[in-house]
Amino acid sequence: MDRRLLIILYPFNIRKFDIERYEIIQLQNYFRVEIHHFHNILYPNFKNFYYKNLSKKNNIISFNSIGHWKNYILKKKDKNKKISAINFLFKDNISSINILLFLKKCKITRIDIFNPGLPIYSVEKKIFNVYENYFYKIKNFFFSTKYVFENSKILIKKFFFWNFLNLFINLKPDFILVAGKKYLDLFKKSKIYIVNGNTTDYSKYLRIKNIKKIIKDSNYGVFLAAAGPNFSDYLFWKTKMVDLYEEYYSSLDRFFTDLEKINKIKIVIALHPKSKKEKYLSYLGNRKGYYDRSLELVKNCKFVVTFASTSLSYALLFKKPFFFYIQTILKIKIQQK
Amino acid sequence: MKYSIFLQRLIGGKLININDYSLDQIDINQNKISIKNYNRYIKNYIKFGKNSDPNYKIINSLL
Repeated sequence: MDRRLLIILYPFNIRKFDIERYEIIQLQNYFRVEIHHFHNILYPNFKNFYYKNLSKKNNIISFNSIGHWKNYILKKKDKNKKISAINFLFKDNISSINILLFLKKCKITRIDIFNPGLPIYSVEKKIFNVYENYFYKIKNFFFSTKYVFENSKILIKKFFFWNFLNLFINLKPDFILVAGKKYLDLFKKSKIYIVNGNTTDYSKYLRIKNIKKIIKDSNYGVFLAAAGPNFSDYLFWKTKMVDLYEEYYSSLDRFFTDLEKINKIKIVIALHPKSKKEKYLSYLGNRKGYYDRSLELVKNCKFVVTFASTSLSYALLFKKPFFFYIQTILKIKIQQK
Repeated sequence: MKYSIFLQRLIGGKLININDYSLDQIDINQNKISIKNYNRYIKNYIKFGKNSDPNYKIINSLL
């Protein structure tokens, strides 16, 4: 029997990590999967940040123009009766809107995914009171002006492309896979067919039956690291963090040394997918780093340290205690480029 | 900084200022977990209902 063609629409270069977290290998058991990525069209300025640990699978196709992609889809449409698409594109520019409209025109079933894995302020309004909210907003404005400006631009774009354009053209997916009860309300009025789903981390937790023990004894704490050093999502905002390497990591290193001393354990690092693969991290006291092993590390650890990693969900699932951290001496100074 | 405070209030655990803390604050024996908060967070942000299938199975059953 001819299997359905499933196209994954992806905005960036696709990494091995993305192939794993979006379960593309597993999807291939049911579908003929093709990954279409639009890095060159949609975000050419981010190219330098998405070049590590890329997947080299032969079902990945890069497109240099929307016209090229449309011709490709029309040819596929002639040969395949059943085509569906999973969409990871953001609705924040004309090209991505053009792609989504073409899918509609070709009557290709589209599934969108909404599973951020972390809470957003707007669905937990009671956490900060009115005064705190204003305090943080003003502080953010003065310390992170460029970030606030760039973020506002994105929010305006999203509003225009999603809410405003939706009044005139139908950009809605056929299905949306949503993870988390709190996010239901965001889509209830949209009349999109909502599918009960999971975050990528929780899906991995369900998928992996035997979680390997990768450190023999369980006498360790795990630091769920953010992207870095010399890299941060702030780069997306055309900003950079100054003094990050020295001040930030030396403060963390001291903190880990104290944690190890007081609790008589060692700290190991679960590296961020955007970080460089390194066995020993010179910027964190030569502590051992593990790439793509957060689930395994957290399962057997004593506690977890994080700023705000989505992988904290593993700690919740395995009922581990947390240390969240902040820092005051180092003001996160986000300089204008 | 605001976001880690937000998460700590939502989930529990200890919030440490890594530039100014006392050693007893970082003793793991003093760091108790709140199962109620944990389960609420899992329900609200990680999974949906009693679904026990990974996403690829959900997508397969959909198409």
